[in-house]
Amino acid sequence: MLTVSDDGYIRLSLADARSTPLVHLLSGLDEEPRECAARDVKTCEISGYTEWVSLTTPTISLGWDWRLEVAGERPRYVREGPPRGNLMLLDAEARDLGAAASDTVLGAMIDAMAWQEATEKAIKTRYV
Amino acid sequence: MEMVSGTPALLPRGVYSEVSRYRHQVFVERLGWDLRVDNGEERDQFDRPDTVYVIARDDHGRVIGCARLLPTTQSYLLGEVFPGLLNGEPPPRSPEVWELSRFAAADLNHAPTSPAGQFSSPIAVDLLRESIACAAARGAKRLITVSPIGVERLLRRAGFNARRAGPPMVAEGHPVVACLIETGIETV
Repeated sequence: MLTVSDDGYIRLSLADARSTPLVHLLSGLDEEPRECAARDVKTCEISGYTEWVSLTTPTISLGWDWRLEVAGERPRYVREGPPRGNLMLLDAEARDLGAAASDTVLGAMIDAMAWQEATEKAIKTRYV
Repeated sequence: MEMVSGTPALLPRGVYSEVSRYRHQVFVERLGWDLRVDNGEERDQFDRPDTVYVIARDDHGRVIGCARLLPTTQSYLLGEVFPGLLNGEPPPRSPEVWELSRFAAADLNHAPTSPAGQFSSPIAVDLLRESIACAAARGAKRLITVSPIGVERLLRRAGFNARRAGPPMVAEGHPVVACLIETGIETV
């Protein structure tokens, strides 16, 4: 059973987090283009954010930034930076992984999700 | 840049009105928020005699940033207006949790520099640090704030120990979240 701790976190093992489906909530574009000088100009023209939630009560919330990478044949949405959310992952002894480590693991979990298509659809619906 | 803080009665003469006009310029004129305005000054029911303000001023004494601190033991914005951001939990009521609201860090003498339009580094980082210190000096261990997602992103990028209390919701066309900020040192 999911609960919200006094500090606002929902605490879960990675296995439980992985088995909790997330659905797309909203996505948006950055209102101003990011600084691109340090990168290959092909990789950083468009960027934004996306937000996903669980259908549970209480709700798990995860959001992250992305950029549209156009280096290959087809543009590709790539996560950028750590996720933002209300989830704290627990280790095998049910201890907090810590914010930074939890974010790193959640980032890997996000990278294994198929979030790009829903995000692209939401962006096109909202802006095109 | 200098910082001043305190309740309205303790602020230097005229600064309270100047901050109210600055808020009008930022939140109403620049961001288009639908807020109560009286004679060019933006104030609401949470601007009380016990409300604490933190204000950044430039070398000419002009306001370039402001923040409002409210103890959650009294009525406050999130508790009254946005309780749905708390993931089903009741709004905090604790002397150790203070609310940060009406946060703006924009030098209106220069063009906007951030997507949020109210949040311009490095003024924002200094003002937020000062706000956290000001709240901590009054007993706060944690700040809670309703923030546009863009501000949450900037908080994290700037290294503040911030996380959200629940999923975002859309208010006046913009996604907002309830952010929790620990008054301890930043994460990086």
